[in-house]
Amino acid sequence: MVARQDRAQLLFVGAIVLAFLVVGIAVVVNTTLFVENTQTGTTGSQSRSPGTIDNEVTGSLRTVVLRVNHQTRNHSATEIGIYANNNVTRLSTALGESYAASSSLSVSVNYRNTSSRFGSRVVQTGDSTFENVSPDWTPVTGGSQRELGWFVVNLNATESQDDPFHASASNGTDSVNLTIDKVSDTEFWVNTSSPTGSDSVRCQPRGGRLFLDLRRGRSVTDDNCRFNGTSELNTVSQVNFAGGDNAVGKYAIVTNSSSASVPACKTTTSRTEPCHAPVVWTANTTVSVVGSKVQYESDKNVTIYPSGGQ
Amino acid sequence: MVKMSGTDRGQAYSLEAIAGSVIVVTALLFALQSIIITPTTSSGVDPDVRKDLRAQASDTLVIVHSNETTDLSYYTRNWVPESRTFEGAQNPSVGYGTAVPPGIFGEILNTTFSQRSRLYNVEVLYLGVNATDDRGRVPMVYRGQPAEGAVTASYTVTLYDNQTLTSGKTGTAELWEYGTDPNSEAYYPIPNAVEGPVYNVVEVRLTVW
Repeated sequence: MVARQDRAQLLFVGAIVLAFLVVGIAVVVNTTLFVENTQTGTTGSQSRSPGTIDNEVTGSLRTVVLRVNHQTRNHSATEIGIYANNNVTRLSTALGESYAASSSLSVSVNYRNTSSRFGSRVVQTGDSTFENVSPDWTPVTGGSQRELGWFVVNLNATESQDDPFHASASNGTDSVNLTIDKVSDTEFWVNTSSPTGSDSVRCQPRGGRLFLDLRRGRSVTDDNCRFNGTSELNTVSQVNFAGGDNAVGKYAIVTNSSSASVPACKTTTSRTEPCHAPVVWTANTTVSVVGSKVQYESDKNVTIYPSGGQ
Repeated sequence: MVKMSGTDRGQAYSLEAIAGSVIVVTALLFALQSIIITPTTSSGVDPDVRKDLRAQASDTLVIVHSNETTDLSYYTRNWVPESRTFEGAQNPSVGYGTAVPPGIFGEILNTTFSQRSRLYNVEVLYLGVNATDDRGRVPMVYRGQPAEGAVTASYTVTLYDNQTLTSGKTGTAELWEYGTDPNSEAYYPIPNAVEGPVYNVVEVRLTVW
């Protein structure tokens, strides 16, 4: 039995014990939470999903093959395939080094030429009028429906004539008609007529060149120059030029199948004459991402050019 | 031994009770304070907060790179050789420093991180000419040493030989025409590291804390 005078001391000792208990629990809980936090992810760690890496790699591959396609014009499909393969291999090495340095992932991309599909590029790589014997002609001939992946004209603003140059793409039912009208060396108008309506837009050259993407309907050299492009048509059966003697510059048209309207490009073909060359239309590739916790491999056909109404 | 009277004893009980309660309250306050500063209370090292932050950083890079005209490649090439840094940046050491990159990149960084009291660094890491070379780095935005709990997100961008610098103060020279000598008038720190149409593979790294 505790004496009456000892009760206060007991209460005091009890308070101290309780206080130490509370402090102890707080320290233990705090330590547990701290350890838990430091174990889940290290500072500065990255979480790049294989899907994200695949998108990055595919985007780079698409641009590399596009540049290979447009770098030269005197190659056969076999040669362009070897050229594409060599450059994709170099890209793969560079990408692999970059990813390895920033993560523990091994990233690579492979190109298979035998499973890739080829298209055709009608091209004039030197400044000249847009003629092929006649100023009115058909760079992409009538026939089967084709996908039109690339349609650009790069006009010499000074040398082009004041009279209009017409370009049109048709799928047999609908057509997109574009008229490029020179007002002065520093001002052109692009008039369009398409299934979605008609429009006129002013486009300014830069550095003496008017670079128009007729497929997407915009100028590379003038952000305000936007018009209806041929991408309104999912496929085309022919592309026509009229008044080609009024336009001076370069052009390139890429379709997913060959067009025999102009001869094949050879080393003897003048840069100022139109000719056609093969391009890789879809690249058969494998993207692989390997790490300690991830094993990812994706076989796919990468479309080098946008298709349909994209 | 001193003998207490009944009144003195009562006062001693009261004093001891008060002392006991002060100790218990102090201990409780200490415990409460400890819980308030615990890492799980929405601080920078909370795993969920870091996960969200990393997702925001990653999304920022993806969104900027998906921009049609001013993607991450554009920002990587937005370089002024004369000032040896990016266009509009403060100096070569800190890049934009306390300022923000121009355009959509700066806007997104500002609204996503600065306005939420977050700090961030952006740097560009590039391959050296030789495979054995360490990767070089150029600060685009440097705001200090990342704190504990910082997260990073990266986006890999491929540069090509025939691309040009995008700053308004440069002409139409293509990347391969620039040199990596800082004393040169045509200075661009990222070298031509890959044979063929590819110029270099760079990593745009965003660190947030």
